[in-house]
Amino acid sequence: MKRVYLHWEGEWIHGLRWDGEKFTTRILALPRMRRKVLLLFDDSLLQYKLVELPFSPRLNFKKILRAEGPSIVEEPSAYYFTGRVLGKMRKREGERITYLICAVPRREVEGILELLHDRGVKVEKVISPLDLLIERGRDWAAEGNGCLVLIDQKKVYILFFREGNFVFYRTFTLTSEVEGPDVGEELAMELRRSSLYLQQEFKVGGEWAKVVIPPRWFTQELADEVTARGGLRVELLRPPSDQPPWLQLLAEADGAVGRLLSLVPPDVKVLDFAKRHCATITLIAFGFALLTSSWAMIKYWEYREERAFLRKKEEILRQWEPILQKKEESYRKLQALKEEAQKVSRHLQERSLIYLPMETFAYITPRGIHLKEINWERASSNPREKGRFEARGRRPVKEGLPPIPFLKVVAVADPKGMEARYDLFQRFISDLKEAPFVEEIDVDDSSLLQDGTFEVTVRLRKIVAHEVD
Amino acid sequence: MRLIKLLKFSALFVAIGIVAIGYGLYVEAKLKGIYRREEEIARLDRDRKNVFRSLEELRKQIDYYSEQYSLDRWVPFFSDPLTARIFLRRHIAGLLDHSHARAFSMEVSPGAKKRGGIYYLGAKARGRFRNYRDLVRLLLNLEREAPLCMVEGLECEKSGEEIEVSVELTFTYRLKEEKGG
Repeated sequence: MKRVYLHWEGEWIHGLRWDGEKFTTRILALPRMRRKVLLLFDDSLLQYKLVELPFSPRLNFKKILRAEGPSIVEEPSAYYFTGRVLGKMRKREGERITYLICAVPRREVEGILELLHDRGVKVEKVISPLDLLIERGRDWAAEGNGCLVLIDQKKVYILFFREGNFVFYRTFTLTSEVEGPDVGEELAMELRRSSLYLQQEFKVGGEWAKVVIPPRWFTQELADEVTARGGLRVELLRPPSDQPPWLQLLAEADGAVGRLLSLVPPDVKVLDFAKRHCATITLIAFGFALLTSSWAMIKYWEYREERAFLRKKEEILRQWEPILQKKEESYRKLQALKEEAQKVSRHLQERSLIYLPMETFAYITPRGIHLKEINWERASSNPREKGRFEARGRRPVKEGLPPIPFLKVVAVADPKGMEARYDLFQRFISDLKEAPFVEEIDVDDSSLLQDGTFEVTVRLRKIVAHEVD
Repeated sequence: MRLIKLLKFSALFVAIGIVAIGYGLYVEAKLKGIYRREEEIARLDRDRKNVFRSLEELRKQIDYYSEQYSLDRWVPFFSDPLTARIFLRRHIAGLLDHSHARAFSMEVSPGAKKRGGIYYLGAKARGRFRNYRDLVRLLLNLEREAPLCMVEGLECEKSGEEIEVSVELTFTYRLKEEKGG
């Protein structure tokens, strides 16, 4: 990615473009650039604290930050505290974990971000110089015990490593002129002091001192001189140059940026994001408002139409009422008709329905038998008829019940032969017994063989017509 | 505060959007109520159409059955008993004639018995029939055709080629002045 690296120092901004071009300008004179930048914060505004604790998997870094952060500065509310784990180290008393806690002044970080934003700069991450040096220094101090030295004009950073692990750091400002004759002596003395501290505190002797990006004036001769005077082997990791050391370091450590502390408080990050995307957010919000309003309007129109439609339907439904009321008269008429029909039915039950057995007689009388007389009386209470049935041991006619109709038939069997006549008579009587209207029959065949005449008295079955429901 | 100030228009639009969603949902809920009511109305409308059709069908049937099952048809009204007697004579004569009876005669009893608002008038008809089928037709017409004449007794005797028949019957009628009483 084509990034620009910026280093903020007071009112100055040092820059390094991705193609190696460097520049220095006042912040307010920074040209507008539409690039993503990595910003190194002014180290003089940052406060650090190294916290070393016995390692436990239950250690909660947020709690540590809340407990240790405010102790770094006098006015904690003006600062944002951040930090990260630098590493674990095994010591005599057990495994220890080291945290780097950094206090970032809120007003300054917001201010520089706003200034840069006003110049169209998109700050990707704000980085602490010391954090960068520690992270980058791990690669150079992989073996043995010693220190890394970074000289930024007159300010000197010394980071101490024991067997590749960062243990502490110190900074100081050179009192002698950087290109003067005493600078070697002063550097040697400071290195010696640092080596002694390493010896006292961590029980190891310093072996080397590596100058990370030596300035132009830090020549190999000066390095040899410091080696001779300070007791540590001074090595130059790069040839001396005029490159701004921090920016050079940042450009080289681009891949490690993800692991470094971010000095921007979350709320400032949100604010910065909002500033950068204000137009987009407004546009999206406008679109949202437009869409939802359109949806609500469509729903309202639909509601209005449906309401009008519903009213019409209700009106139509109401119109049914008088029509149905009028039609309900038919139902009342039907009720009246039902009552009338029941009366008619009851009245028609009084019919004798004699035509039914009379009609059936015609079908069951065989050829060769002639009916001579038929007598029927509906309300026959003729004791002679009743007596005839009872005298023959048949079921008596019960007293108190309506009179049972009898049908008396006198008929003649025509065949001349006795046998044929009798067979015909028998067949007739048999068919008659099977007839549906016959309850019981009584036969007088005393004259059958003489002249073919016989008399049948039939007790008719009561035929009842069903009532109308 | 700075964030709110920065995004005041966005916040305003979002607020408009939220209000619009709220209003839309409110209208949506009312719409659902309308749809439910429309369904109910459609159901009621269907029911009422069915009721209407049924009642219309009833009306047609009533017209038919009113004629068929009217007591007035089976037990007619007469202004006085004499008119009833005259009607009965004509009616029976008509039926006998229709059944091809010959040499028929009849007697109508002078008085009628009253039971439940209905007068029962007795009569006796005699006639000669060429065949048995005509006799059955007479009996059938007496009891199946209105006004009702109930057969109470029957005597049939073969006489040569013909059947001599005597039928006792009861005719029922009502008097007009007693109507509704």
